[in-house]
Amino acid sequence: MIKLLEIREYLRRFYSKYELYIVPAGKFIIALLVFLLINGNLGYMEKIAKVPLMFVLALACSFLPVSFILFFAAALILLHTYALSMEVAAVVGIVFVLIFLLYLRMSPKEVLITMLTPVAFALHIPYILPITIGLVGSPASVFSVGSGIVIYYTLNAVTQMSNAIDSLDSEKTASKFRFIIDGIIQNKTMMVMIVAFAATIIVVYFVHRMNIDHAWTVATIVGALTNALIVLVGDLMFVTRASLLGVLGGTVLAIGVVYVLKFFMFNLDYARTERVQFEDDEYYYYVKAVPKITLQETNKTVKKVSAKAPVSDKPKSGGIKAEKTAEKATEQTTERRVKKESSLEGAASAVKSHSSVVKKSAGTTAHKSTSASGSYDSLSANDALLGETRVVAEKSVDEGRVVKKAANPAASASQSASNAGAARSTSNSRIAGDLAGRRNQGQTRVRNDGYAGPNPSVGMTNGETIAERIRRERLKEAESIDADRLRRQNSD
Amino acid sequence: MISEARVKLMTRLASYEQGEGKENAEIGTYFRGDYIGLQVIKSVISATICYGIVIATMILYDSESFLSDIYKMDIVSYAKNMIIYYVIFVGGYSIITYILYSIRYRKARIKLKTYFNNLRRLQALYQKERKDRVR
Repeated sequence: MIKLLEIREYLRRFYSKYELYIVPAGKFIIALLVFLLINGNLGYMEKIAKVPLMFVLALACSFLPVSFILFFAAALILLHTYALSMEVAAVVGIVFVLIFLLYLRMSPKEVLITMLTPVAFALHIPYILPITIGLVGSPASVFSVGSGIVIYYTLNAVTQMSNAIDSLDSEKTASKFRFIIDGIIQNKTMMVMIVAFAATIIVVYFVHRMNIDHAWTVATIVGALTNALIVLVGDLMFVTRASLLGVLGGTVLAIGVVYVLKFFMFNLDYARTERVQFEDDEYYYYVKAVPKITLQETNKTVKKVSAKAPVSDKPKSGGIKAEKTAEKATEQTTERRVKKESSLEGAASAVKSHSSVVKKSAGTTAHKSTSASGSYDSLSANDALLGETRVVAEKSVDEGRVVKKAANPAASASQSASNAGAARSTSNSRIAGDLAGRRNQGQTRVRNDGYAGPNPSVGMTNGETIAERIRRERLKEAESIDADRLRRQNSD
Repeated sequence: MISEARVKLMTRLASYEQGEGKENAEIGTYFRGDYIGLQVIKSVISATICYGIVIATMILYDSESFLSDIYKMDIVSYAKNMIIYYVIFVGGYSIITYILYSIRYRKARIKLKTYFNNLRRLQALYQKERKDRVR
């Protein structure tokens, strides 16, 4: 379980760090999957049913908006159906135009759901969709899913009737037309699926928003049962020839997959790194905002790493103790703080050696790279430049999990500072100067990254670094231990 | 000197402008009645086109019997039925559009209000900085 939690945290950090590359890669994979499925199931026009062409199209789609995947998919489908028969292409074209004019015009953001629905059906995992969409979407997604189901069953009908369409006389356009439309409109399975999925989405949406324990789990199970029930009842009423084992097996698989998705998605904020630009009268600003990754836990045990023995609660059943001893942790923290401070001093000296005067005119450009936290409320810029690293052990009593969180606001800041080329401006040297003053003031500050301990700057003497303070306190402790031993010897 | 509070506020504003601010800005340029009216007109046009496509498809589907029965059937009542179905279809679609875009307008106005409040805070910060510089 702990491993899974660590994997989840790793995935969150990985996503927030590499979001710029993950989104185009995701679009590429989805586009390629859609195009390959279209070629695999239709594929009547051999000129365009080539894998390299699909790779090129998918690559183009990775840099374009998501709606372009649907546009290229629709174009491919129309070309393949045109190769089969002009009447089939006309009917499929009419279906696309109706869906676009009636629905996609109003909700262009839900294009992805409309596209993923036929893909899920083609991969024989359709029952995952309504439960997932009910948990993360809204009731309005019923129309997206419905559109996707119509597209899938239209193409399914075309695939099944392709031989019959070929055999029909080419002059009998009207009869071909009627044949295809009958295959679509009289498809009872499609109607049953639309009703089942719509009901499932609505039920899951309202149940998971209820104020009950384990709302998501209850919603998943209720949604799966609703879906299975409606599909089986529809099979009895309309004789859709749905396989009982297929429905039940698919439902159980859907519950499992949704449970895994819930683990990775529930109560988490996959915040993105944001890059913004703006200007004022004096500067141009190029800002990279990196979200802080925090795990919301109900009961926290904050372990302060200092020269004294750490204060920590006894672990309750199911918990895991933090393995580092106070001294080892202190040494490690001391090393980290010394390293960070030396990097800060190095940066400050680099700034001073490359000082350039920033002119207060609109024509001069001064690059200011700074990292602001996703919360925008804490003094994260100063924290970042201080380079403090804190190791916090958190424990949830209920679930017996311990998550080790390293709040390291310096990591992204130092990265962006190095990217900016050590910030060649007098403004940074001024901030470094401010920091030297702040260390001695012991100011309290509001942090919203979960650290609830006292300000480590309090109690420091003038001009003292954190490492020096720790050394001073350890010396004092060693002296007091020696004094106790001498006293005992004398009393003996 | 760079004011951190101002940079944080401007970062938040720029982030909003880059994302959902684009759509909300467009909504913000209209009055409520104008925005919803425009969307309803677009919906009426879309619904009319769709209805025409559906009627054409139905006629093509049953073209043989339609052409053979066209002289026998009561064209007036047939046209009246078509118009009634058209009014019901377009009316229903317009009502759905009206409700949907009313909700969207209300949500966009709330976000725009927050955005304008942040702009006022930014203006206040600028004024404070100017006063401090004068001193």
